[in-house]
Amino acid sequence: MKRRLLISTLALLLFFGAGSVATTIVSAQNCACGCVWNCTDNRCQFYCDQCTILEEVMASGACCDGAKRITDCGLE
Amino acid sequence: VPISFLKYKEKQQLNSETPWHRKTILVAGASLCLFSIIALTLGFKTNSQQPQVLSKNNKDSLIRYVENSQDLPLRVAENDDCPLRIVQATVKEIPGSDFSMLTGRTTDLVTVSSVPEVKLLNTSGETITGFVVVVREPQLRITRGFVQEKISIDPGESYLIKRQHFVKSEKTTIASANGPARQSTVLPGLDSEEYWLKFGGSDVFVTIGKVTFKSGSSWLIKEGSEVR
Repeated sequence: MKRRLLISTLALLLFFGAGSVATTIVSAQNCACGCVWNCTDNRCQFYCDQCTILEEVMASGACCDGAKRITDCGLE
Repeated sequence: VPISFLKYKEKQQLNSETPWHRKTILVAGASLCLFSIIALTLGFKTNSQQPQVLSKNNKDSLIRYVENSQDLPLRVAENDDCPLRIVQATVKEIPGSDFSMLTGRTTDLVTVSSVPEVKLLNTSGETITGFVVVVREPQLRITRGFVQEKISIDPGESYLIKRQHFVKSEKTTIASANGPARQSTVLPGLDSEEYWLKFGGSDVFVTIGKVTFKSGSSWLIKEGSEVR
């Protein structure tokens, strides 16, 4: 289970690539989401793996809140 | 000791060492052959997995061809009480080989679908200020989507989600001879793998996960029937 989680996390990190202000969140069980906040459009693109649809809406929301907090929109 | 005896002993010693040397040479030769075969096999495999590289003109033609290709419907699965109805959802679809030529990436998918273009309609009596849109493969439990905030969709008003909305913009540094280098945000094109879904099949659907109203209240998706 840990191995699967590690693979999911790595896949998410690869999806969003290095250099982006990206956040990864791992919630209940194996549910993992990665996201990037876009200041200009007030939009947050996300990718989730092994989540139920409800978990994924909650986890992506939490992920995007985190990404928004750490993204310095003043410099965009 | 007679010289003939010494020569006899030397010869005997040589004879006893020869089979061992032969074995070593044989093993070394066999190993060399084996490694060569493995290296060649891996080389062929890597070459066959490398996508064909297109010239800029050919790539531009392929991009134009994909842009002008027919829009195909994407399955919609939503709750009946969702205040933001999906009126239409369409994708572009290309063969896996074209995807490799466009993006330079390999795929196991026979056909690859783009992220969708989705037309929404506010069927509620309130102004909508945010939503979450989701594209999901329910068997593999993989999802791609985005959260939209700070918008305003009045009751009865439509909203168009463009493909670009699913794609994260990339930062590029533009250097000029006269001035200082500056950073610019660029949206990747159809030749970026970001434009394409990493999953496919008839089970893939699009849905609305959450809707936020101007009043501060919100609507949340419920699991059931097709929404899973």
